[in-house]
Amino acid sequence: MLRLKKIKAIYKKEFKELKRDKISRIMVFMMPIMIMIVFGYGMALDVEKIPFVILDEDNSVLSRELAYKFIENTRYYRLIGAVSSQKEGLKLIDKGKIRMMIVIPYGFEKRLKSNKPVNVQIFEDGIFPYRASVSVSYSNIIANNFNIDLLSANGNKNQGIDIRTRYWFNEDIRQKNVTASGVLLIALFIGPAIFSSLLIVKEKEYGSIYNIYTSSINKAEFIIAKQLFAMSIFFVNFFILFAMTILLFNVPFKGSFILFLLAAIIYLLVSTSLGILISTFVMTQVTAVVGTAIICIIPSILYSGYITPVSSMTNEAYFIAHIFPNYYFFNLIKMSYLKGLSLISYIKNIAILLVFYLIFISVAIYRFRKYE
Amino acid sequence: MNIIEINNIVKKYKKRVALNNVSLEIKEKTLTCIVGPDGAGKSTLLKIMAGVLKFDSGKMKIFNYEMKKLSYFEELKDKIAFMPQGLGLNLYQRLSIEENVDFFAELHEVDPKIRNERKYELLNATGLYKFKDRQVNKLSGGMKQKLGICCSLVHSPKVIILDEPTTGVDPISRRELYRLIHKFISEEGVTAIVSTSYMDEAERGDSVYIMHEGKIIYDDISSIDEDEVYYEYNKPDFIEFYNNLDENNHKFVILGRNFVKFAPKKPYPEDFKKFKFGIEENALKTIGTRKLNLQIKPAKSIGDKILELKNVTKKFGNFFAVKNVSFDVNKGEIIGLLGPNGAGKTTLMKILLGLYTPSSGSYNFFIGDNLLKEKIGYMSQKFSLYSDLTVKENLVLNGTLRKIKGSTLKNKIEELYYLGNLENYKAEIVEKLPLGIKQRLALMCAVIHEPMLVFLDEPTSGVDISERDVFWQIIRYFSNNKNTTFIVSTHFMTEADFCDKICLMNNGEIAEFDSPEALREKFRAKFGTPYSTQTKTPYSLEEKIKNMGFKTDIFGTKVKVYTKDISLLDTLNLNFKEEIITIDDIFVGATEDATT
Repeated sequence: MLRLKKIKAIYKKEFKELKRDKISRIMVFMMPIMIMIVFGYGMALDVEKIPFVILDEDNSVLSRELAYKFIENTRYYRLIGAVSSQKEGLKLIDKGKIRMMIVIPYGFEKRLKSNKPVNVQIFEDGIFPYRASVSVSYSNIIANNFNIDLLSANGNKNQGIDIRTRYWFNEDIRQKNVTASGVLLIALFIGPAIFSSLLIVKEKEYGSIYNIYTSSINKAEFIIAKQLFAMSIFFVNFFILFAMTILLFNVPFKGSFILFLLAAIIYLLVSTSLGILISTFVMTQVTAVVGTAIICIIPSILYSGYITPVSSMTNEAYFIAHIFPNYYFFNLIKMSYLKGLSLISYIKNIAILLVFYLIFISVAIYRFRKYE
Repeated sequence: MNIIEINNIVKKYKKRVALNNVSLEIKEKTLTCIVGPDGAGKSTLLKIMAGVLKFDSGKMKIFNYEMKKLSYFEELKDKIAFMPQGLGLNLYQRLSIEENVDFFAELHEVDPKIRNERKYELLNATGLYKFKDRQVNKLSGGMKQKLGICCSLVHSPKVIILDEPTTGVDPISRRELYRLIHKFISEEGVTAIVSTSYMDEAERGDSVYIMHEGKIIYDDISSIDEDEVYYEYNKPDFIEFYNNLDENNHKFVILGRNFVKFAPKKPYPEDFKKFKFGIEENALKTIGTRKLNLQIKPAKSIGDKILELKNVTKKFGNFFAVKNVSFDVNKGEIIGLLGPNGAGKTTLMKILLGLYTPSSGSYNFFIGDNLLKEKIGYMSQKFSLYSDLTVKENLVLNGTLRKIKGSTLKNKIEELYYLGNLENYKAEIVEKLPLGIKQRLALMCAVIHEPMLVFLDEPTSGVDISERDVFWQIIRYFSNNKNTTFIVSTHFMTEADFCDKICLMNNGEIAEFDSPEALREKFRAKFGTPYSTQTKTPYSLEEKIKNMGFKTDIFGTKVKVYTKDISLLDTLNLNFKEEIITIDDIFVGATEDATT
């Protein structure tokens, strides 16, 4: 039996303490906002506005035409200028001023006109392989278009296959839609977990936990009171973060808000009970913060599908992703923001999150000791 | 009736034995004092009685129920209150006094009507009512402890267990705390168990247990031997007398500032001042003392002024940590800085060491050298040793830092082993050593460069009485034989009697500065002499005498009265015995005077 009076006493005390503690108050409300801003802008993986130079050794009509194809594509490429030698261009790559150099060789127009194959060389800064390969594939498309134009200009009407892609769910493949809405996954996990573990560990560290040990409050009452308090703080935070995704990052929201709110509440129950579970293992606030952060960051960023889609993970990683709760909430986020809802998969993901919550909270209550 | 009975309890932390076959009985409506140094096992014992710690073997009965399992405690928890160690650490620092009491009441589900009455009563009794809206982090140590007691008592428990409620608290508040405890015992029938590291507080309990290394070495039920006596030798040649004493023929030997206290195994033929064994002597007898073979010089010379302070003040924001402190120090003197936590002792030392600049005022060293730091030694509170190094490595490190090299360093270290009685510990890792030895090593590190002036910040805090005596023998040796000047801070009021001059500090200001004798005379002239009388109802008797207009204090079953003329109390028809004036008395007299 839970005695509401005892739960209320703890809850009221926590509320008063937070009201008086300016630094914690700022931390609790500013941290998730900071995470939102840092990840929302910083994790965007779109490859755009690649700075490049052109080395046009041929300096003919056709070579300028090819160069122009790159220059006019201002969404993906940004022209820095022309260089007169390879050495000069490579120096710029070394210095990090540009990320790509296009070399159009001498005799380009002549060879093309006499129907001989011709090679155009691209130097690509390969430090980030993902970025480089995306850039190279843009270049391939531009080269193909150039070829097609060339063929049709030569009177060849047969243009071959033209693939027209339409991206579903995220129409203009804006990465930001996913990164910004996906930050909810991190901000509603790490913050609540650290906050709730501190709620308990700080009492252990100061010594006020003895008041709990020596009173007749039972373990479940104490833990539930603490969790309720953490929940109410992050309930408010949820609304702030949700508004940020819509208003600041312009992410479209297609699902039902009420159902998404319910999903978020259950996700918060999971993260706060994980924090409380961690608090039963540690004695000091420093270890609680560091430990909780490490335990939370890996599943919420690496195994949730936030960076790499879970379906494209290798067998082991695919399995690991499924034993963390974050993957299921990310499904719910994607459903709510991007896809619109399918009720069956909504219920399935919610149910799995509830199981995580029940496991974490019961182990936490079992592990919490009312003695030293 | 016994509220708590403990039989042969053993508690181990991994390999270390914290409690070794401890047995005790706590009687209903009494105050039990558990006295001992740090690490003696006091906290462990109290936590076991409060039901927040498991024990390995033994039996415990509370309210006549045998506590076989920790879960049995759950039903009793609202009847037992426990206040853990540390100044106000179990209170909620950001809540006000009233909110703290309310929270404890709600946690124990005290009926709101009863709660308000109870709160008013408790806050009034402790004098906290007028500060009820103040946040806990803005309270003094004494006020925090009083609030802690209020919070423990708000749900009217039958037993209150207080772990070191008086450590670091000023003497006035300490007296008030004990008076409060006696008040609740006599008015509400509470049973109180209090632990303390101050030996002089032992007498304040109705019954006393002294703990040492996990054992109870003294209890006033079985340890009293009426016949045992000790002697005091206080002629001018007391140091020669001390140097010649053979410790093997004695139960204990203690060197004081101007006397030797000793208990021979066989009665002495000579005619010395004789005293009956008190609690402290019984403890000393069991722990035993160790007389180092130091051959202390009989007399010491007090030289010229080497340090002068003029109105030294240090402000942190609006808070005066040190305020208008002025005094002179002469070469060869031992100056004791005494005061509770937060009195400004450490801040004052740090100013003199050049670690803080004073906000106003000045100080001057007359050491005649520009390299001041070469002439000064410092032993900081707790952190002056590298605990992962051995004793030898610590000494070598400190010597090298002071640019002592080669054979000079080697000889110096050999000498320090001898003086600090550290020969057996040369290769030991510091972390594993007992506190007393660590503190001796820290002292040796502070004097390795033969400084003229040494600052010691609470060197004996938490050390047992026997080790404390060893520590003071070494200080006395340096003072007498090497003419070293010491400034020592401490919150053990009894240690003042080892110093040539004592500087009593309170709230950053000097309350008194003089030799112990002069201060005693001053006190006697102002407040009179303390007398004590035995009674079964100390609290009501004290109230009665206090209402007659006398200064009073309770010591367990004794009531102390301060008066110039004891015949004024003849009407009470009680048997009064003259007592000595303690430094505690002087402190209370000086600070009470300053506040009213």
